[in-house]
Amino acid sequence: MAYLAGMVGDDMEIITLLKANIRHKKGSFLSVILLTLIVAMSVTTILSIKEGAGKGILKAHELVDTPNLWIKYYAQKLTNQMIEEVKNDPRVAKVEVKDCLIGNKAIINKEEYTNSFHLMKAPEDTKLLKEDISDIAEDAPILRKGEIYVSQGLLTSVHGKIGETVVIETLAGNYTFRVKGICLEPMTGASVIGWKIFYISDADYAEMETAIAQKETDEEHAIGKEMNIYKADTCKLTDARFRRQLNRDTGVCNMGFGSITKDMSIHYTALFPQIIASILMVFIILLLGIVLIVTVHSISVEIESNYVTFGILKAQGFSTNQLRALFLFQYLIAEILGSSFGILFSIPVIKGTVNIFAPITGIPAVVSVPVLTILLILLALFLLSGISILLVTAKLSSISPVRAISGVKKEIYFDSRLNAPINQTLLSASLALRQFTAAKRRYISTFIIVTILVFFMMTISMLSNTFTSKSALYSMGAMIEEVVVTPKKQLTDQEYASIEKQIERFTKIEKCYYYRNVYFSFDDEEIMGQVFKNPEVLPAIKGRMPVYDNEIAVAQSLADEFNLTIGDEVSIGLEDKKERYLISGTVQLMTDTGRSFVISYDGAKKLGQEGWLFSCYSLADNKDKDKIADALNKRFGDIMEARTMDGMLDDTFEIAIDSMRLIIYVFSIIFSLVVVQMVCSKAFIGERRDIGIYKSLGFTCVKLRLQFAIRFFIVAILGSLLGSGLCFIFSGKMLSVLLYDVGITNFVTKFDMQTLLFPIFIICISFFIFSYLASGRVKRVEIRELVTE
Amino acid sequence: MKHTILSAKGLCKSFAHNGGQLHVLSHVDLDLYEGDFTVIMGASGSGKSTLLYALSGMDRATAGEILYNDRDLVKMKEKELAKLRYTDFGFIFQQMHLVSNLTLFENVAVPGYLNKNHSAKEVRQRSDELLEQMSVSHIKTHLPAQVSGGEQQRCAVARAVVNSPRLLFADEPTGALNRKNTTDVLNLLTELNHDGQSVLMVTHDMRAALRANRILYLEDGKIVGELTLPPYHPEEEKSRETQVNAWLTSLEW
Repeated sequence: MAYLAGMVGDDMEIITLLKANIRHKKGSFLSVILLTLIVAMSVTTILSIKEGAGKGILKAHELVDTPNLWIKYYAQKLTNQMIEEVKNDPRVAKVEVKDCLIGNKAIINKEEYTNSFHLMKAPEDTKLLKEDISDIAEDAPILRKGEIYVSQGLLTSVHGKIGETVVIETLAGNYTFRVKGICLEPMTGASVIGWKIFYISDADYAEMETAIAQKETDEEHAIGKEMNIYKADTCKLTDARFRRQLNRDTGVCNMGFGSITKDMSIHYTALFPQIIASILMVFIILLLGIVLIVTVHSISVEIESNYVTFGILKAQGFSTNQLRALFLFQYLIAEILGSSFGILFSIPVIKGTVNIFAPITGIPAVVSVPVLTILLILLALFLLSGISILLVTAKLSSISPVRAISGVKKEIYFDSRLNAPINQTLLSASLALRQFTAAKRRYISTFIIVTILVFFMMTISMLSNTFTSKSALYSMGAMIEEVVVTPKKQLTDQEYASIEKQIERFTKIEKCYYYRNVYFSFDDEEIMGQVFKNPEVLPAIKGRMPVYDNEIAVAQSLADEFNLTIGDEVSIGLEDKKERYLISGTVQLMTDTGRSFVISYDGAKKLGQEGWLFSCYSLADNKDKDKIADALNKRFGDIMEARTMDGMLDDTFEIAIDSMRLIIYVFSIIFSLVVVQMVCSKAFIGERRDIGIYKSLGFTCVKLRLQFAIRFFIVAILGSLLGSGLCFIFSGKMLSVLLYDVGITNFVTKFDMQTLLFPIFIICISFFIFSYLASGRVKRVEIRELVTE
Repeated sequence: MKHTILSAKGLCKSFAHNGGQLHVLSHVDLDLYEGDFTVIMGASGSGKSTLLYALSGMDRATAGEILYNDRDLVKMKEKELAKLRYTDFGFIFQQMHLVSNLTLFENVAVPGYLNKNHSAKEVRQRSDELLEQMSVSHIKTHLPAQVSGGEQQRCAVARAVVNSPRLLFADEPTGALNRKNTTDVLNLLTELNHDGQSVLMVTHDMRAALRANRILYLEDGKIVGELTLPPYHPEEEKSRETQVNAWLTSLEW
């Protein structure tokens, strides 16, 4: 500050000049305010939504008093001895054991939900959400017979709503309920978590339990228990370590068929808001970069075009530092004003969007603005901006009063090697090209800005393309399941062959997966294992997929978490059996967000896991998939059940990516508009004389405006080419880093003409149209101004 | 009988000034004739350049009419005026005003290209001939900033006549030149006029005015005097100067 005070001095001269400058150059001033406003508003909104979602999740866990470890069991597997053993463990504060019914298929809103779920008696203190999921409802009416409470995440997955019918398939037949309300279920209520809890009335529960108990056999069970384990205050272990150590000492997880810790639940529930916020924040940081570029460009052109004025000011006694301070204050004032308005305007935006992730998390967000983080980011912008301004204004020291006043300044135009001849047929275009090549420096900032915008627009288009392209998903190891066959018994190879022959009467099978997901103990940690009969169907990132029964392939993120590499051995257990397996390769798995591994059917058999496997098919042409499922059910209905799935991207992913794409495109277009407006204004000032000359030669306003627009079009094309190149090289790596948390460690980029051309088209056309509009002031240049110059 | 090429009637031009109107031209009536070298003289602020710009259609008159080929320039659309500039009119500025990023050759050729009556080859040939005639062909690939003011102005003359305009307007074309360059440019204009080019030039330079066969004197936005002279011959310059001087003195110049 002392330096700044020294630059300004004690007099009012700088303030007078500052006021005059702002009044005279309203366009630049307002543009910087607008750009900073957009950035500040975006930063505030995105960070607030992210924090609001996170705090909402924590608040919900507190409100429902969720356990640190939640384990589900088939009832006969959970013994009193084990419960006592856990209760007596010094790391455990409290244990709750609750009865439940286990289901695997529910039909809601005509959509099937085929993940594992629990039916439980609704507790007295059930917390319900308001219908718009904006908050906790004031009361939860006691459920009557035929009524059910479900979590929002489930409704989002099946596009359901309150009042719709839920059909639950059980061993004892189908039971029909009506959705009475949405319950707050922070542990598994998010749409990204597969397990779900349904609450039903005591009367329904009793009736179903009795009926199911009568139908249970040694092979088929549906009556379960869930154990909620709360850590003692004295236990300082993380939830993951707590589960690992407790399981190692008591085998409490090994006996269950699934468990989740509170930390994991929070991580999974908040995953989506975090990833989307991260991607958008990268974009916003690039926009911050654009604000800096625009500021530097604007100052640079201003110095060039007001060379004489600065010379006169120097002749009157202004020092270089005072002139630098003039710029510094002018732009910092604009940025501070823009940031302040941005924060102010973000308040209604935050209120309107804070709950945007609630359909995915199933939890209402809390309105919370991370003031400190936002201020730090904006301070960083001011600081970087200040440094850039001081650097770019250093050239003011080279202006000498005498040289400036006598007009001895550097010629703006230089002979260029890139000069193309002026062509009669393409007169406007060739003149536009000349204007561009003669003053390339003027367009460098625009070029960089286009590069940044195109890079990001292309990256987000590519993200969407990859998730909708089968070939890209195959190479990423994603499983595309369009027809899923659930056997009713262990099928023979011949039966599988008959099923596939039936499918191939309609279309070719591109990929088929014979697998089942089972939770194993993986070095004493409960990890999802995908038991594959044909593990070679998935591509290994490194090494190879398991061939022998003592091999496994682990997801890259699991390998990173456990610090494992190819050739290492791990201990894998299931219930009371344990074996050692060699890691033969790494693979990309999105199941359980990458905390999973692949084991061969023979390998799992060693642990006693030899149940039936799903057979899932990805079809060459999926238009007949419903017909295929019908045909299979008709012909093989006694041994299997076939159903269809979307196969590609999950709806939630698709909506999120489309929303991000929309945000990024809209912001890019707004930035293009402001940047073009600003750069055009500066270019216009520099070329006012030439415009007058062209007019005197007989060029019409339309022709001159077209020349202006063509120049920006050329810059947009060149910037787009570099942006595309950078996208080719870096976007895959960038997305692998950003999507690491969902298990994508090796993002396979999928380019097509649309990915390439659409963003380029949008940006180039925006630049062309906006520069044409911005050059409207050409009309106002009278030729007689050439005389009065 | 001379053929009228351009005719102005009741021409007025006002500018907004300090909340009121500043009347620069006040009901000017004027005929310009084919083949004439007409000069407009007058004191600073008399409205010479304003009249020139209004007559050439570079600026809109506030009232009155300017007839060219039976059409009123005042009522013409921007597109029609633009076309007139590259087909029928040529213009030379005091400050040359060459496009800074085009070479001298390109500066001359561009208005030629704009006029689609000639092929690109013909335009290039004509530009070369004109640059040769103006003695700047050896520097035709230079940018304006790389040549002298006189060379720039000679190039500007070539540019103004590349489309063989019916009427050449010149706004103090020698105002920014030294003595030698002034003579060169005036010789070029005289030569063009002797070849049949109609010229209307604004100047307050006596030497430039001597080249005209008709001099109009403007005062407070009105034409207050007119002098007709025989065509210019260098050997008669002295007597011509005396005649013009006497006339100007009578007008209290």
